[in-house]
Amino acid sequence: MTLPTQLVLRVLLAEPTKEMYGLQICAAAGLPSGTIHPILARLEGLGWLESRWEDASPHEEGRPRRRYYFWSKDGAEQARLALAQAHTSVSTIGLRAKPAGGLA
Amino acid sequence: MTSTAVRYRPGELAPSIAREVACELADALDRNNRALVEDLSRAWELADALASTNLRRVNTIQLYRARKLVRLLNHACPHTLINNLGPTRYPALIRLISPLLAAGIREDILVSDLSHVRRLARALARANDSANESGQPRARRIAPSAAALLVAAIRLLPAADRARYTEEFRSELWDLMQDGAGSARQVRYAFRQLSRAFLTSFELRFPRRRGAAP
Repeated sequence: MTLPTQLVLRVLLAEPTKEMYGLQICAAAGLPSGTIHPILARLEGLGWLESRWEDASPHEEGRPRRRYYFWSKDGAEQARLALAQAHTSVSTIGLRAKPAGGLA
Repeated sequence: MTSTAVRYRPGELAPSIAREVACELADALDRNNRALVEDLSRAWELADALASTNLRRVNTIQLYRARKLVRLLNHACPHTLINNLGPTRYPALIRLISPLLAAGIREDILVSDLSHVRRLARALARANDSANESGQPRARRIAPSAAALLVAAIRLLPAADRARYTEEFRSELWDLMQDGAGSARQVRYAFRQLSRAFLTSFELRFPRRRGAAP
């Protein structure tokens, strides 16, 4: 699991019931804007995340609709397990994590 | 040079190499907010540095292929590429193109895709220069060059997902603009989307099975 993916998972697990949009996740994870969609698409493909358009109308809000991401039924639990496993793997081989900001 | 045994359709494999170039550009932009022209040189230098360890492995056939590709690239993108694709760049080129050559991809297809990236890069450089030279207070508006780059990114995604990502990217660009992002920042955002569009597209086309590692 790449470090950016781990950062995204940690952000979403920090408040598991909160729905967040892409730019918001990017900022919270400390990743450059525009780098997160491959990760979100992968997590959605795995069935860990789901997404929906916000309820508000663009006309009422005066801006385009945001796409919100949230955990699927068992997604958070699977993410916790995967993160724990990733942490164990890194510890076992004695690698130090690289700083954030690499390719998504 | 073989032009047979193309196992991938145009636009499938070659973009993965174009993506490498684009990612290097995007990374260079991440590290340095100066004009893209400088970052383009830096991106090639990075590629050179990565490839330098393989310099001794370059054989005659690879060199011939690299030279031919350089001629094709210079023909496709005259002027700005000439300085960037001198003989010292061959190892970097070989590193970038060797997976394609091994797969039997045609050089002209690769050149077409790389040229597309270069054109976008030059458009980005112009936009960046304009933003730097204007010296005027930044008006809150969507940068046309950023919007154009996002359109290019959307085109690389599967048709079924384009409508969704069009709206999602537009929403993020709008949020950036509202956050005070000027043209340069908006363009960087859009360029990152473009550089990762191949990866996003791959994830959308080939979702991993449940239980697989992310």
